[in-house]
Amino acid sequence: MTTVPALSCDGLGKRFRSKWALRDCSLRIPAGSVTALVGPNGAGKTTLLQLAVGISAPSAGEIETLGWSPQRDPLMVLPRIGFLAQDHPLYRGFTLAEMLTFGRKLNSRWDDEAARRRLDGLGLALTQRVGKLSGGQQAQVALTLALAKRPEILLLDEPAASLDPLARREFLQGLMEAVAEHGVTVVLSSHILAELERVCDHLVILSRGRVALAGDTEEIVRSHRLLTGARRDVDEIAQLHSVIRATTTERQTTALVHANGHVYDSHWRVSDVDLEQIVLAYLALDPSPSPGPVAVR
Amino acid sequence: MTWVVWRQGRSEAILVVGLLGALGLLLILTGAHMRSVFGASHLSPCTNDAASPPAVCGLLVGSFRQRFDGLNQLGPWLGLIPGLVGVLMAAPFVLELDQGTYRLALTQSVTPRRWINTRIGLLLLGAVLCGGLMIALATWWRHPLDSLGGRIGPNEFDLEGFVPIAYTLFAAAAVLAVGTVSRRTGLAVASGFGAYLVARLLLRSLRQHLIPPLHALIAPPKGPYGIRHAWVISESFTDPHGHPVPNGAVGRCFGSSGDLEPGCLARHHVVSSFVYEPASRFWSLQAIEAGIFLSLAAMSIGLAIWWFKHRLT
Amino acid sequence: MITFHLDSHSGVPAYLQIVQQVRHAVSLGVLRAGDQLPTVKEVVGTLAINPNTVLKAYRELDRAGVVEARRGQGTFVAQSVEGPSERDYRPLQTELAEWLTRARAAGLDDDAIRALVAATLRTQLAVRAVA
Repeated sequence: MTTVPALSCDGLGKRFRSKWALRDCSLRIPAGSVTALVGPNGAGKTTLLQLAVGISAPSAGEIETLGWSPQRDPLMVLPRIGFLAQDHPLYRGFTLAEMLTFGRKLNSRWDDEAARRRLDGLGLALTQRVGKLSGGQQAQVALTLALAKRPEILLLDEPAASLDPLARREFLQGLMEAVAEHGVTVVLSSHILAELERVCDHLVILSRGRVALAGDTEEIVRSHRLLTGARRDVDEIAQLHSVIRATTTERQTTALVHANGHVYDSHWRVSDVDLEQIVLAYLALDPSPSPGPVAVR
Repeated sequence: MTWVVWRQGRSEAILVVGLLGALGLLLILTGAHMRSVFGASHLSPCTNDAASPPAVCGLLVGSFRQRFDGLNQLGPWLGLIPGLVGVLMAAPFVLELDQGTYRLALTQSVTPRRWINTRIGLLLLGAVLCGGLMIALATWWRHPLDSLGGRIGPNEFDLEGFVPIAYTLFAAAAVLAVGTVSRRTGLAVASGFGAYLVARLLLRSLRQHLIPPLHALIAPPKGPYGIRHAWVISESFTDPHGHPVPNGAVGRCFGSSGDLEPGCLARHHVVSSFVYEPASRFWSLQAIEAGIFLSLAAMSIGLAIWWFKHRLT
Repeated sequence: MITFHLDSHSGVPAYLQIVQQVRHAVSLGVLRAGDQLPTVKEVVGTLAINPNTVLKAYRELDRAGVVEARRGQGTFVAQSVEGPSERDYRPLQTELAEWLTRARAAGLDDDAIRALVAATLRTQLAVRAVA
């Protein structure tokens, strides 16, 4: 059975003036997954998300959200997506009740009752003004508005960046509850991987505008190995497996490889490597224009 | 979407209503008073341009004008109001861009095209309605004075006809253009209003050149036909060929009462030279000036929309 | 009702920790036959983890026969392990707490206590094997 991927990019690129913020981006994000979009600031995360929701138009390539082009068929995309822009913009002078009215007026598919219940559960009164709420509360309100659209995909741009750890935790709790209840696909970007690891089952690493790695997190961890051994050249091992990063000290060489099958080489001690180390290694890579991104099925 | 546009711009809308309300109150109160004095002073015969007015009119009109001169001084200040209204109408849109809430609005279910068209459409409609209200109030208020002295003069021209709508639209459009490019509300409001002031002052001084004025040489004390309702750009004493005469030539003709004696002036071949725009040109000048402001407004709005489409999305 | 907690630094996968905690609760008598496990939504609402992780844990427990998933109703404990009920082990826990106080007063730290318990268990096992 072929299900339409929640997000699908082919050679996607976006240029601002003369600089490419995103280049040669090809991805498939499966429906129902929770995907972490990681990368340093300026890697292109916001650009990708804005292209996915149609706020931005591609300079090259194609993108399809839920099977439709956000530029050509916005009405097939907009009502089915939920978006949290960076810093979760809200109308500061509005009361919460007015924010709900805002959502109701601008959306055909809108579950006002569920939104009220959620705000109530968060301890937020409808008469409160948005501007008077804390950062964490505002993020929750923004999430409530996005969820009230009953979206099929939620795209969140650094949703927890400006929040304290407790507020961050509460935000993710609410997000996961929504996923458990409605099976909504989630793509959330962050420059901190640690908090996303327990939440995400898919990963996309962006570095300098290009996709360095994309795939299922378990599969990624399974297919990468850390090789340690006496100081030696990595060329031999590089013939069979992709060496992502190799560091050499006076006596020892350590190589993180994307293994092509099992690693049979008596010269190396092979060990598992955790997701964070894998991400760091890929981020340190200099993205070369010719070989494509390392895609993990 | 109308509710959202209204609610997001509610504070500005209230300011506009307040401003126009205060203006309306001021004009209605003073205007009513002016009309009652006008009626009581039996000034109606003095309004007719064609026939020679009764001799007493000179005095009556003079004293009436003097009495309400204070209000006439208000004219230039009233000229600020279309600018303020325009700026207030455009500010909420710029705020959306400045505060980033447009990213929230564009990811509901409204397409970007519909969003910007509705917002700008409502803005333009509001500007037209406010401009229309200002015209109605000012025209009603100025009716007594206009009937005596015409409405093509520099102060009153700005308040009547349809240029106030064009002024308001231009101010709003200027704020929109700067705001869309810079996404800074403070800058947009300041530059937009500044551009409005500059344009208004420029057009004020250029207005007489929009349609070259008429020249007339008439033996005093009369003036050309309809001079009382015309815009006198300059009035001076010249010789019959239009060249200026030395002051002394005129000074001789001051009589004992302090008035100039026409007979004396005629003997010395001194005539009055008028450069003026007749009242009949009111609508033509209105059309040209409004046309200029509306073109500038259209270009600014075009820039704003283009920039929004190509740089922000 | 059982509440789960996760140790992100233990190196043990999240789903496995949940499995272990359920097994533990069942063996201690905290969860008994017929008790309902928290819904996936409740678990992720507390732990902020991917719902699939919880589903994976519950599936594993279902396969092992510890719990059974009833369609449309939830996940329930399938059987209780023969062992002490909560009523039984509470006095034991109180005695243990008293003993621990005495052990600490005698100068034993946590590691020494654990070593002592492990050694005693081993000796007991050996004794039982012989008997």
